[in-house]
Amino acid sequence: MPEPKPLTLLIVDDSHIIRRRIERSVAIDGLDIVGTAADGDEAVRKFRKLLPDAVTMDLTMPGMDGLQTISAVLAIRPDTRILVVSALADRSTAIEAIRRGARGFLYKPFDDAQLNEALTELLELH
Amino acid sequence: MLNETQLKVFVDHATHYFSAFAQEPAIVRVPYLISHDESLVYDYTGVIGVSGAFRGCVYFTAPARMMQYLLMTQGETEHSQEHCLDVVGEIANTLAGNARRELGSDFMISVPIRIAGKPEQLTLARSARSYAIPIQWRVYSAALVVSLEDG
Repeated sequence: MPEPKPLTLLIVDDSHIIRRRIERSVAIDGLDIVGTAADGDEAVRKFRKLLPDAVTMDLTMPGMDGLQTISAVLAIRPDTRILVVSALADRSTAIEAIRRGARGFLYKPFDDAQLNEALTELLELH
Repeated sequence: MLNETQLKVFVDHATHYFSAFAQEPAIVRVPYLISHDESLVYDYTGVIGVSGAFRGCVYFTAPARMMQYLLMTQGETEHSQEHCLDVVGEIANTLAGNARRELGSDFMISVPIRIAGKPEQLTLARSARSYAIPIQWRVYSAALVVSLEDG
């Protein structure tokens, strides 16, 4: 039987160290990181080109913020699985992100195990 | 004005941050009041503007060596000023953002302003009450400054 096609992930965060942390920490078989973006505009450009299955999305970013970017990428590919990775820890922000179509929420700061668990849940790889 | 319980929110999040992100806990000491013209800055500073229920700023300031060491713990080989500024801004953003869990979504925060050296433009409002929260991580001393008044 042919191997299943790997799922693809785009990382969106305005912080270099967080993008690198996610890149280094993801350890899930069958999940390939295909790109990173440092703001909402770059995220939408790369998303349109790469059409990833999943996105980790920061919320507080200069220019187009994460909530707006969630709406923009889901308008391009509605079945994209979005994991919000944000320091904004209040309930109403999480509710708004879910309302816009995000499927998971991981609070910063996170450790490697929390990230991989959140991505595994997002991708329903249990 | 920020009350004692609300101030403790920042102490608790600062304590948690280093354990979670760098896998090494920090010692967070008792906050103390600083005056509006007191300059408490190290080599790099990340400033978050606050509006809504409170008005003012929250900033995290740290020496270059601490930021370089933190980059090293993350496997980064490049310890440039740009990367140190990125880290200091991210820490400020995380500590201020986490505070919304207790202070609510009306504690509105800006994207971080990242500053190297002594910031000329960083003046605390005379009408705000400003607290310094000393943070020691490994051998390095840093501080979280919370300078807020009612919005």
